[in-house]
Amino acid sequence: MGKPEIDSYFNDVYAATFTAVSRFVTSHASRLQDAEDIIQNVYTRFYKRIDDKGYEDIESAEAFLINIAKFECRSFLASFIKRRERVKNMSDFSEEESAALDAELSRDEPLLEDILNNKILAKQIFDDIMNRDETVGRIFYLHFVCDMKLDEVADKLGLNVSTVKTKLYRTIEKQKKKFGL
Amino acid sequence: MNKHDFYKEIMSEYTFDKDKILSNAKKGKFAGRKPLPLYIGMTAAAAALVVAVGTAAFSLTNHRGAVYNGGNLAALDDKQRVDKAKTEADQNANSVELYDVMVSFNGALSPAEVQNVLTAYSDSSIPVKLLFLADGSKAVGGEQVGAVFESGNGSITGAIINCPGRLMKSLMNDSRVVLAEIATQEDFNSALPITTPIGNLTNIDNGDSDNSHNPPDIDVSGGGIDGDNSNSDVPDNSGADDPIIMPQNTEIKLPAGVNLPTGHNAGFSYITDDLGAERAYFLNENVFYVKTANSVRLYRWNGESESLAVSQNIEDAQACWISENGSRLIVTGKENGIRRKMFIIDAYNCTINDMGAESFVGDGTIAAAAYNENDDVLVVNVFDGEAYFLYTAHLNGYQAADAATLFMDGANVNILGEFGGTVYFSDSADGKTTIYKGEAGTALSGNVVLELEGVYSANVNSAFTHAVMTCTTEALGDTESTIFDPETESLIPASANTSFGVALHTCEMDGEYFKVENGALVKIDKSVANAAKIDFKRSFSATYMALVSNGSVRIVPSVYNSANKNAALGQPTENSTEELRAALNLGAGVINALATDKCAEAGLDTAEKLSEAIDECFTKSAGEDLKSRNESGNLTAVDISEAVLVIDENNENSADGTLYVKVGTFDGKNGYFAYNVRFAKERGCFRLDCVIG
Repeated sequence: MGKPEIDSYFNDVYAATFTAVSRFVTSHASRLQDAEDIIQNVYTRFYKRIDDKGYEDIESAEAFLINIAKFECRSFLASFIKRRERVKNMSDFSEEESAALDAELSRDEPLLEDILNNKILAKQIFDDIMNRDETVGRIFYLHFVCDMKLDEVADKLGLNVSTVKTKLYRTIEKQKKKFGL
Repeated sequence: MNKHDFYKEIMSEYTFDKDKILSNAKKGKFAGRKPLPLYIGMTAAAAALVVAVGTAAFSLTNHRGAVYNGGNLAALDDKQRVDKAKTEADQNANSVELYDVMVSFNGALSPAEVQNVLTAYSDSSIPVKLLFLADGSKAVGGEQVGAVFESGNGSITGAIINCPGRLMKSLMNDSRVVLAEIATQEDFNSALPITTPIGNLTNIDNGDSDNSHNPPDIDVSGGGIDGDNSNSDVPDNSGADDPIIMPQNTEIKLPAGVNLPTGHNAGFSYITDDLGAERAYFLNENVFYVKTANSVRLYRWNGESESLAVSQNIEDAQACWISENGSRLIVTGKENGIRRKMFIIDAYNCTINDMGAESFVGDGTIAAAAYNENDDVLVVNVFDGEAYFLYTAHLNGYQAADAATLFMDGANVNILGEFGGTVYFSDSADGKTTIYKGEAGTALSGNVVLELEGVYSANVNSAFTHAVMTCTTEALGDTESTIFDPETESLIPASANTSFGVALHTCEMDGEYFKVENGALVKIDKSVANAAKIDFKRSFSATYMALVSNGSVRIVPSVYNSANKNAALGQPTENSTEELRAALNLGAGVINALATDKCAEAGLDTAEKLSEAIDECFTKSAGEDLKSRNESGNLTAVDISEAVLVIDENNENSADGTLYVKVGTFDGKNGYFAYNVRFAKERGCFRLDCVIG
């Protein structure tokens, strides 16, 4: 099996699976900041595997990659204990805040495109999200990039839905004020 | 584009570098591990290692109060570093800005001790970037630091942590710390902790250390509901009666062996076992509240003994509201080191109820809370690590219901008061303070009410009806204080020493009592009744009062009994002569011995001795009156141990005046019953010419 064929296969798999793998790693990594490194290692292992042994026996590349990701998440900085306490007995996010959040996210704002084009400002906004507590970054990634509903995000992260909504809402409110969004 | 798509683009673009990952994977390149700070704290378990996201610490955009003074520490001598650290601590006393701070310990500490020191002053986790070990080596980054803490071995002389600037002052006040100083990246490599004992460096005046161990307190006027109620000005009734002091130059001669009582009645006193009590007060006639380090409890009291009615585990409970009659109480408390719990205590039903505040507090910390009972408006100020969120809610039974975010600010928000469903609050920026209002239950509805020059601190009263605002901007005079009146949305000039206690509109200011009425202060009587509205700490029982004594609760008679309502507040000054005072003490002593049926104990163990003592201490007519009243059982003991004798008229043969008998301390002021007294000179000296009481 020639290198170009491997590369071609790898590129296709990479494009097709990146969202699923990143979603898995984002929600399972001990530290969100390690996610990129873990994803890096997942794909590196995968590439080495198909480079060494081919890919004919791989029925589902995504399932194969997720298995690698499980291993990487467990082994990466395993000495650290992630303590994420599940918040119990949380009442629902208030209807008013839910409505405000929905309205906030769906309102058409042409200015946002200009901000996206301003790479420096866009990166600052991203950094502001990621530099909050680690759960915020996970929530944003899983909800916005992986298109997971907030209750799915909550379930994935072992959090109460109300907590997820609160974190999302607070961060958006703070960014509104901080960056004039 | 809507915000959902906007964030999708942002997160997709920057979360992972897809091209780099793809390229590296094809090169067979695995990712390395980055040295990261180890985060400690948040829980009492020293071994709980909480690793948080990001190597870059967040920084608030609002830099109010934050002053950076970092520099090259290695270039400074110890004295210079001390001076610099002191300046930094002072200038950043209120700063929430995050700094890398080098902490020099007072000697080499164990890892456990270091964790105790570093987590003592913060509700949130503290990232430890570097440890200086006693052998001269360093532990750098999360893995190495974590290894030191996990092993529990080694001696640590210093650390570099990342913490809010305000923690420096708290750390400097800790005897285990020599210095806490801002460090730069350069200092990570070049600087070393100071090992000189603090006493050998210089006198470091770090100012008030009262709150150094505490997160931002929930303030109410007068130092907070749960302020010290050790009541040092309350006499300890457990002591023995004071012996009367016999004046040396009186001509009155008592029979030998007579020692007359002062009338100071030890009265009822009961002390519980050690309950671990830190605070205690009666909420009604039958129930008293006890706060321990890790719980709040209600005890039933039957007049003879106590029994535990209910107990709730809660760390560091702080009362933020208490009803005017004491029947209900709201406390905040910590769970796993984070102040996120709220309980409402119902004295009538003897219940402690979780209010479910976590629904809006989430992972944040309660910075302040207030409740207006009349309008059923609860306001909770939540700090989520970066910004303050003001939530409003109301009570549905015991639950905080319908929480809504009223306001959000990067700087701390002061809660000022509530009137008719409108909540008032303030923040300060750029040397100005802005007062806002918003309707409870609405989202983000703050509207500006007033703008003030200068930065004002604010203490809201327990009833959430007024706040005392004090200007802290030196240029404007740091003693400028006002009362904010929500009803009229006005500021009323006031003293910094203004206290509302649990009163809705009555306050005490520099010893006088006022009522806030139509946006003005109206002076009211200086009476025990008005004092009682404010001085809630003593007791909401008219019968009993609870005092804390070494973890036990001592139960004594309440000073706020029905009789004392008629007592006058004041501070009379003794002006009597030694002779008159001696005559008074002796006469009162005889009255007390008779009224309390303690003649034998006083040495008046025979009729002859009693008669002789009466003849010596009283004029002839007063003596007859005394005997007559004694036979009819119409004598009352008079406590002269803290009585003040004020003589109005005095001549060679007689003197008239007023005897002020102290009946208790009310709102920090002495209360007295006044008795007319008269003296007449008979048989060569002044003798009491009346029967007191």
